[in-house]
Amino acid sequence: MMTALLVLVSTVVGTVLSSVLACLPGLHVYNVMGAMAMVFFALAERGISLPPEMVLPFMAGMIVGWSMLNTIPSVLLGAPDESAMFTVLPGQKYLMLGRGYEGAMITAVGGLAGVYFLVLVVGPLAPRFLPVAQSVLRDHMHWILWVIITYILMSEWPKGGNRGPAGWAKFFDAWKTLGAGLLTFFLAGLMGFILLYRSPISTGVAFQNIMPAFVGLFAVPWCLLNMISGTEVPKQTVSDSLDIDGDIILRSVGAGGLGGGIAAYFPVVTGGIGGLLAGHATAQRDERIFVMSQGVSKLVYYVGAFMLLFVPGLGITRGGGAWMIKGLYTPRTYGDYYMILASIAIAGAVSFLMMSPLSKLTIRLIERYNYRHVSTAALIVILAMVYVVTGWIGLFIMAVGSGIGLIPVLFGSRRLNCLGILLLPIACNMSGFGHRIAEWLHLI
Amino acid sequence: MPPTIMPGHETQADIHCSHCGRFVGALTRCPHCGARMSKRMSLRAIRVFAMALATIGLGLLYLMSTHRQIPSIKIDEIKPTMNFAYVRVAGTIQGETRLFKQGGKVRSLTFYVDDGSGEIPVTAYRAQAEELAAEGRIPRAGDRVEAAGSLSVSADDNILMRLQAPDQLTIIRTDLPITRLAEIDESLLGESLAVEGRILKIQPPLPDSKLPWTLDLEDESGSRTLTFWDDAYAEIADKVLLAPGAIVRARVSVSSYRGKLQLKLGPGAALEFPQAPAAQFLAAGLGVPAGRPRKVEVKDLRPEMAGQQVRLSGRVLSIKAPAADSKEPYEVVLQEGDASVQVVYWDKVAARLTQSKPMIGVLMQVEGMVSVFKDVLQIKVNRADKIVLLDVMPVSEPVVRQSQVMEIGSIGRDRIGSVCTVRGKLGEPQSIRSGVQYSLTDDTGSIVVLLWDKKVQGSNRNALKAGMTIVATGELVDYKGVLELTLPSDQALQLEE
Amino acid sequence: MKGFSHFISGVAAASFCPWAVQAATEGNPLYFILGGAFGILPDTLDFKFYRFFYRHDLYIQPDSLQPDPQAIADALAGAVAQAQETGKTVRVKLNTIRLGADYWQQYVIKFDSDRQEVRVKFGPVVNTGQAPVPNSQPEEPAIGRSKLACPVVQTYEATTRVDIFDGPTFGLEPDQKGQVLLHFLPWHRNWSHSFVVGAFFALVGWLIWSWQAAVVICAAYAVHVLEDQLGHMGSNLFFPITRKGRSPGLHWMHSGDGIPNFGTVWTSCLLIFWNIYRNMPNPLYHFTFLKLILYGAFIPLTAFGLAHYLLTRRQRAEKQEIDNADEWGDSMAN
Repeated sequence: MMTALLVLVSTVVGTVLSSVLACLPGLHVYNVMGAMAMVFFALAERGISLPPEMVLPFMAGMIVGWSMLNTIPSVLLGAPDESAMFTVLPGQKYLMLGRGYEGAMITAVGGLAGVYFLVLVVGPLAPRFLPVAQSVLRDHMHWILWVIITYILMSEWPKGGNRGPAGWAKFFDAWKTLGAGLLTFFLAGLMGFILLYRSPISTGVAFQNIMPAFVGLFAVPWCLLNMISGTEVPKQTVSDSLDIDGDIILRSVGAGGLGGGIAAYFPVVTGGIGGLLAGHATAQRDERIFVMSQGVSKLVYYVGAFMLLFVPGLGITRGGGAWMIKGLYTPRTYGDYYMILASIAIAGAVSFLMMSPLSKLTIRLIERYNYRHVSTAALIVILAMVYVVTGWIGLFIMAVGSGIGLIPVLFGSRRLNCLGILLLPIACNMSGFGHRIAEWLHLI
Repeated sequence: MPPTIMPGHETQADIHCSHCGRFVGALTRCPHCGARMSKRMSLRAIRVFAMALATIGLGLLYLMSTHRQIPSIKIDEIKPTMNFAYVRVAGTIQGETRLFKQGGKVRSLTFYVDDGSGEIPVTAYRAQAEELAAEGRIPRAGDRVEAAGSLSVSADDNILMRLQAPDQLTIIRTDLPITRLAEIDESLLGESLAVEGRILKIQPPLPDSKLPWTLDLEDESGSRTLTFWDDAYAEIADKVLLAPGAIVRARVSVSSYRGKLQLKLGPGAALEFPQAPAAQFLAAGLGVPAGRPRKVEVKDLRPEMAGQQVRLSGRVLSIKAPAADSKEPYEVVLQEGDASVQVVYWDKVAARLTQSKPMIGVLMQVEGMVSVFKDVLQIKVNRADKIVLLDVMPVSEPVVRQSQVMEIGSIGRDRIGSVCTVRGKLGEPQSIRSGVQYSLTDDTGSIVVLLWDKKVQGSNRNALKAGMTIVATGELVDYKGVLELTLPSDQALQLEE
Repeated sequence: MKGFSHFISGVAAASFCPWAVQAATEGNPLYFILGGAFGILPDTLDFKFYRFFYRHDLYIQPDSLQPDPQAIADALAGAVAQAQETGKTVRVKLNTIRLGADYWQQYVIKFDSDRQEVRVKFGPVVNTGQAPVPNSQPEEPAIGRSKLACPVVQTYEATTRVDIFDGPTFGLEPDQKGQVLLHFLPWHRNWSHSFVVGAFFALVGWLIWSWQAAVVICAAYAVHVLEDQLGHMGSNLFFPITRKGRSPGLHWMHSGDGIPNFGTVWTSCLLIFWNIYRNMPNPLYHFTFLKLILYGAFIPLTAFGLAHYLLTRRQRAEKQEIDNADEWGDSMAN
């Protein structure tokens, strides 16, 4: 009984904490979990050992809460400036139509549907089927990664070249964006090799080797572009209902569950890649399905990856959260698994209930304070976090990552290409020739 | 018609062309009228800034990293926050390296390094492990190493280092002190030792069996049995020297099997022959097991007979000498009737085959041990005097020996296996599978003369007719109780009319 | 079919080659990469290379500030007349009208064979998902009409919507009967979607790598060509042996249809999984192909289909009451 209460309280505390932190733009849950992990390690060194019934539900609550509530800053905090960017993200479309609240809530419904999917469908079936899949696919992960890389690079569509007479000028105009995409991918890949083999970050915090780069590739460009954006956020209306039905939810779970599941299961594949593959595979057109499936996909990816660590008989570690947990505790039993499923369910409910009030609060915030200032504050928080964890060298790496991360946004290619930082070196390593490339680069 | 201002564009600046008023978005030149768009300074600056940071910044990061030394650490300094750190450790190898093979290929190897402050397993996977094994750079117990790789630190103090490149491993070979066999007891369980002694006996495993090889070793203090499997046997250099009486030095690990102490040979060429001159007096191949050799026919050889000493004879069908500086044996294929077998012997035997050097076509008798290597049945000959040429005339030269013509009636069963020359009149040809036979008759008797298609092709055979008188030289065989003369070649025939 | 369907079909084709699976277990991803790359290559060649060099005779660029359907109709009619008079194919490019990063002014073109005229109408503003922006549909849209010099025979859809990204091309080809054949996207699936071209790439692959690579390339390329025969456009199957004309296609699906695309992707994934499994020397788990289909396809898809059916009962009932599409294919219900 006490254990159950401890699990419940730890879950709720973790969920509430991460739900609030998730509203801060640019802050990733893995950064926060990394900081928490350092606290736990420090406590352990002083002889204070926290029970797994406290740590694991707390971390589960953090991941679920963040996955659900992170929608708020991505939809509400930031207005797309079409004089700088070539594409408008789906959530931003809702914002610019004054329906930001609706967009955020539709995404949250997707997240809740994702929780149902994980707990009621994946949960019972995973111990039975995933070990079978793993035994077949284990030796083939490397080429699956290569195939995904090939598709990412080959499937990008040229944004230009639509006007003018036929010829090389038209061709080069079209290939500018494609070239920017390829450049982004390979620059990020080179950066990945450097950080994997010869990271200049102190070995004492090596478990956060890649964090400054990721912050630079994704969070900093977002903050910077918000800061210089020439757009104002229109007045937002808070609707009492959402324009969705059961079929929309079902199809969103199908598309998002597929995308998030792919990202959760295959190493290195992130939610964005999973979403891309699932979106192309399911060919959905309805924008509501697109937005909701993003919520499903994000939750299934982050929480599903975390959950895989606990699936009995599977023994795989996916996602930064699971890697951090692995440093603290090795799950072994069905008891651990059911505890995590229960934590996910509780956290899903709590975080969804927090969605509406926090969304309304954020809308009041952006009506009162300029979102540019909010982004500036977020940028300062990010810089401070990177500096505290990894020092000056981490800030430098973050700056380099920012340069690479700005290229796709400013030149019209996919931001997904930034994931070359992990995809390329790890695919090379899994195929057995990563060390040759590292030797050729004089990294080892 | 479309609304003048699209939703969300109400407050957006610089998205329409200042000349024609049409949408241009993020483009710097209007695609409709071609006018250049003047964007906000901050936007231009960010674009330049982005490209500069990405390229120049990455270059600087690269230079910084490549000029940075891989940090060396002590094993007891490793903390959970050091997961994924690329570091260097130096220490001594504890125990033998464990190799994991799959499908005959090395999939991974793991060795333990002790730097005095602690011990850490270092693992190389796949390509790196294969490369290390192929180069023979497998650390042995007692070696000093320096290894650089990425740390994996997980809960329950589960720490290991992944070797990312074979070049990141430096090995300084160290010889372990020799341990007397009598001093090996249970207190040394798990330890790796070096032993030296004289081989008393070697027992190979039966074909298709998973049992190990056993080697009885004796030194001045006592004797012990070493065990090793086929993969370790394959790594032994100078296998020719592996025979009773040879002095060997071996690295072994002490383990227990069914309550008894077991000495297992370590991986990576763990067995050496320190006293090479003494080994020269030994024959190639394994030691001679006890028992007299059994006379068999080639066709009766079976894999189940592996380990048995046999004597057989046959015609030399082919000879394959090993390449220079190769450790492979000579391979001679002997044929007896329809069956053939491969006879193998090494340089030490070949060097002594002066009078008995095999030639194509000669009849050869060998004594050796039956063995199976890569599914091929072989006779391993370990002494030069176990190879005897029964018939020194190679088939490439004319073989008819007129001076040795004998009466057909004088040929008895005691001559089976020897070469006989007869003269007589040919009977009608009878086709048989893969050849033809004739009866050959003289005044004293008749005999069947067998001409196999594979061996006897040429003008002499083509000219054969019933009633013709010929002289033929061939080997006398017994086929289902009937004596037959098997000719080795077309040159073994001489037509007289 | 969509690009991902072709891509994963190519990977599935590669998985049928035992050497591909064997090489993969030894750390060599080459054959699967070739399978995927050549599975998608025909469309890549068209959309990322060839179309930028495809010469057009007439570019129609409607004015976003003063959209005039009559001008578009007149331009199209003029192009038909030119084709008939000169006896040569006239290539017409219809450009899209971009109003924002996510806004496009839609216009619709219809060739009416009965009245021998072309009609053009401006529709609503749509987003990149082709969903109409609210309140952007003109209340009384102007329709441009122009008489055609001769009958126009359409080989594709009756109505062409021009909205997002790059606009379509019409190839107006006069025939012997005094008619003009209208080819939609004439530069697409022409030389690039040919078995012969696939064989050529296979030969190059043989020269660079091995015959095994050639087989994979050929198979993946051929799968793409065959999949495209399911649609409305077909392709020039044996270019350069056959110089002109695309096969008609089976008209079983449109390239963007969700169910056929997803079905192809899911089937390909199951086949890949099965081919990997059956080439395992010592599998830990044992199952048959039927069992894989049962648990991997039949049960989940049936469950999904059933849920979808139950959730859309009311919508289906409402839709069946009246067919409310107008001649342009637009719904007349607001």
